Amino acid sequence: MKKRTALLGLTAALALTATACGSKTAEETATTAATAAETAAEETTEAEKEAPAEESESTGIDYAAAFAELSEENPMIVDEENQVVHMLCDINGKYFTESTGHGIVFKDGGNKDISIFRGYADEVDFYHALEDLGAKPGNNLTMDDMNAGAGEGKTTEGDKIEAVVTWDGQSDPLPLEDVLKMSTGTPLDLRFSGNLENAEKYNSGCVVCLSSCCVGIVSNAANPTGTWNDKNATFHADESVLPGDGEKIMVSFLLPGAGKAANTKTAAEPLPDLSGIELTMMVPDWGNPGEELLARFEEETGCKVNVTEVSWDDIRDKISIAAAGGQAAADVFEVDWSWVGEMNSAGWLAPIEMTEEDIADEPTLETFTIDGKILALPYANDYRIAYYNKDHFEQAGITEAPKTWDEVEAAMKAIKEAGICEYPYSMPMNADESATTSLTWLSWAKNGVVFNDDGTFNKEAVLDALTFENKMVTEGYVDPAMRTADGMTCYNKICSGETSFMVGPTKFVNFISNPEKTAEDVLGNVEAILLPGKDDVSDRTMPLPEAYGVSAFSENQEAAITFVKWLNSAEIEKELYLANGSIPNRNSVIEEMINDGTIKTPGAMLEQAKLIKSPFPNGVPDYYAEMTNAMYNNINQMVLGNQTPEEAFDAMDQKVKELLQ
Amino acid sequence: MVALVYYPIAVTFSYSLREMKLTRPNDTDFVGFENYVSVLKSQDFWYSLQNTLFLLAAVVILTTLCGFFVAMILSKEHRLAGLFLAVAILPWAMPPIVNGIIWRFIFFPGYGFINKLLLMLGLIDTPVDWLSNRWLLLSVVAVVTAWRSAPFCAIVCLAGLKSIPKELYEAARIDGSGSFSSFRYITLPLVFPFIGIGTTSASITAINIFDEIVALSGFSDVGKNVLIQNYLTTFSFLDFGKGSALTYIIMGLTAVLGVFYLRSLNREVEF
Repeated sequence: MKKRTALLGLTAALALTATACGSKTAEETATTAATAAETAAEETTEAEKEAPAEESESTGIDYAAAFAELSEENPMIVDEENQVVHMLCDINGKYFTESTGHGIVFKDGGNKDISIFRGYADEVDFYHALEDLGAKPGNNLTMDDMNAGAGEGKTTEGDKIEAVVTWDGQSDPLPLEDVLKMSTGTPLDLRFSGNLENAEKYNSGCVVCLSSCCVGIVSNAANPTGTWNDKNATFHADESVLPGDGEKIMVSFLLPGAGKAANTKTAAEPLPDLSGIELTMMVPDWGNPGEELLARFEEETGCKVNVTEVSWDDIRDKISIAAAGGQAAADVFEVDWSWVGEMNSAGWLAPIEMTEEDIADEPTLETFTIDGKILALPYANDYRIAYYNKDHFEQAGITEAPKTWDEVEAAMKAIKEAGICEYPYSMPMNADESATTSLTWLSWAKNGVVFNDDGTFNKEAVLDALTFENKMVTEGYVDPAMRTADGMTCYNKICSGETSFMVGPTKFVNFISNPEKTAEDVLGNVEAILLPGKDDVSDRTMPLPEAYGVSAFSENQEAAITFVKWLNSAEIEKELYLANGSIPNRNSVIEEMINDGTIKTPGAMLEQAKLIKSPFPNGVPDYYAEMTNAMYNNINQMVLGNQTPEEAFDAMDQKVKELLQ
Repeated sequence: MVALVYYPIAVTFSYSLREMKLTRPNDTDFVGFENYVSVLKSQDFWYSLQNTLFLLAAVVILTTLCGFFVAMILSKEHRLAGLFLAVAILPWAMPPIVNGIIWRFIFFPGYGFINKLLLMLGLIDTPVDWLSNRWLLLSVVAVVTAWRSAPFCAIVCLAGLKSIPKELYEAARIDGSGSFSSFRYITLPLVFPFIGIGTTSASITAINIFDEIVALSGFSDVGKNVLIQNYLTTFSFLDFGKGSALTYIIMGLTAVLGVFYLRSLNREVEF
């Protein structure tokens, strides 16, 4: 909360002083760090399936070189740095037409002739290779489980494994499932099943089974045991994709976090010697990296960092007052996304160089980039994602998540009319920043535009969004109390079951699986989904990240930049999440944390992260504070019934045009 | 004194005469009284001034009446007088922001205590949105602020009441004066300077209201006073030029008020 005391003088001896505290609380930004190792493979999406192929260029894995290095004498490469095992295989052309449940079997194993691919590496060596890389086996299935009847099968456990395939002429790796034809229609969910004892006992040579298995080293958790026995499923090699019978291919097994060595280079590279330098850092409590990370930085560089925790927008006041006198309030300080425009114009931030790989991995960097200059490095990711209560929807007879805003509106009507939830839609409408961001993301997701290139509002898009918001209020879908309640009060309604649909902060992905945050009867019923759009799901979402910036007035600018780049590295981002709950900005880290179960119930979190785009065509404007003041006050007046959407738009539009002049 | 008071006052005045928008660091030209003119022409200023004057009047009246009433009760000899005094002082010790947050819950439109109470008593059918209407919101702010400032007024008035010699009342009674006459011609005139102190304090509190408004309605236009407007201009919009001009205008207004109070305090008491 913002705290400000002020003294106004009765006479000239009394001068105005003021202190303030911000509208964000620690709870608003600090998220609960999920630590359980439960995996989240059920939510695998098409985009996730294709991730290895998409990222191959930006990872540190050189598939072509690995393939060239493999031979019958050297059939397996264990790449510790990149957390990958490459195995040489060939294709059994018989399974272009016939079906089998065996994916890869060692060429000297008992099942060598009944698998789609024959591996040249021993399955036991393969087991040890995965184990050496730190993968944890499931070892949860027995022979009895293999005879399960339909609907009674068990699924394998163990660490998630991605498998991709390359061959001569196909240097970009393809996901294994893209070279198979599977009747199940479910994406592969490969796990390190383990089964070393059975593998040695039966000597079947099974490396990869396409259903959950008690013998295969790796097997598919998407299909329970017995899937193949009952012949409920068929698996073929896809001859339209793969080369011909007997051709050699390379199957690469990627552990969570595989291929990120190149991206973590900033952390892995020896840091410069900064002995004798002391940095100051001014951040809110949720931005404090914590004593352990600071001690580690000091150990690696000799540079001590002194952190001062200050309430969120007191920081802005302190920076502005110090900067007015040409001083640095701190070497490193908090930079909210909404401050970056004014701080750039005021010349308070030192630009930071980043690699192309970093920029590609961090879509939120765009928010802190103006005129090609990166002005701060994000540490706490936040972007808008939709949440819906499946139970409420199902009770109203709606079995699918809404994809368009028309579907949302229809669902709200159905839920309210059925008496399932009195106020099924939740949306911040109070006269504060959350009302501005709500209108902005709504216009952005629904109509694809908020501002014209000249900085003025796009009337059609924004008016449409205002009209939609107003309709939600007038139809009684939103709790009228939300007109004067803060944003978190609105968002928490999804956790308490008091609302059925909302678009809110990313951190609720963790909240909806946390019994301390979510009501017992709501746990497991809320799912994070992609933002709806006009005709289909939206192809974009709005980022609202927070970052560390380096003062342009700092006397230790180089050291400060080294420090914030270190904090922004993939390795440290993950540790920051564990230390203070900051959701990472790098998609590679989010993906890794979803895969290893650190982030539970992610829903469409990763897919949505890949759709982050800034709604400001020329970067966040330096008049943002005045603009948002006009926006949230007029939005609030509209929902209070004192203005029509047209009047609210005209007032906002007039203010922005004044500011542009 | 020079460094902490006079220097900032002088610097603030120099800012008020220049372009000082921090997002335009190279544009700091001398503009004379242009910032003052701009502030005085601004609708936001006059709107926030109206709110300030409303709060000033409401807080002073509520604080004085409540403070004096409480002082009268506390002045009675009673076994539990000490306890009552301690309880009465408590709100005064409350930090303004905490005070605001507590009252926000009380007046929360959905499940606030007041709404629940009124619904339970059957006085309303649907919850009242206390914080969205301008005058309702300002009235709530006035009550919340008076609740915090009345104890000081009560203590000062209590000191005044205790300082009145009992002999005066005894003499009046011998002369045939009733309770009301004693109150009208002895208590009130003698305690008046103390009420003046309490009123002065309440006025300063009323003009300085910030935390309660922020806690109850944020930085919304609806309930903003001149102080909120000053904060927004200076620190939110980063316009130190106009913000400094507004600071001087506020100082001028409060100085006038101060002189008025000081004169009334120096008035000779007749009883």
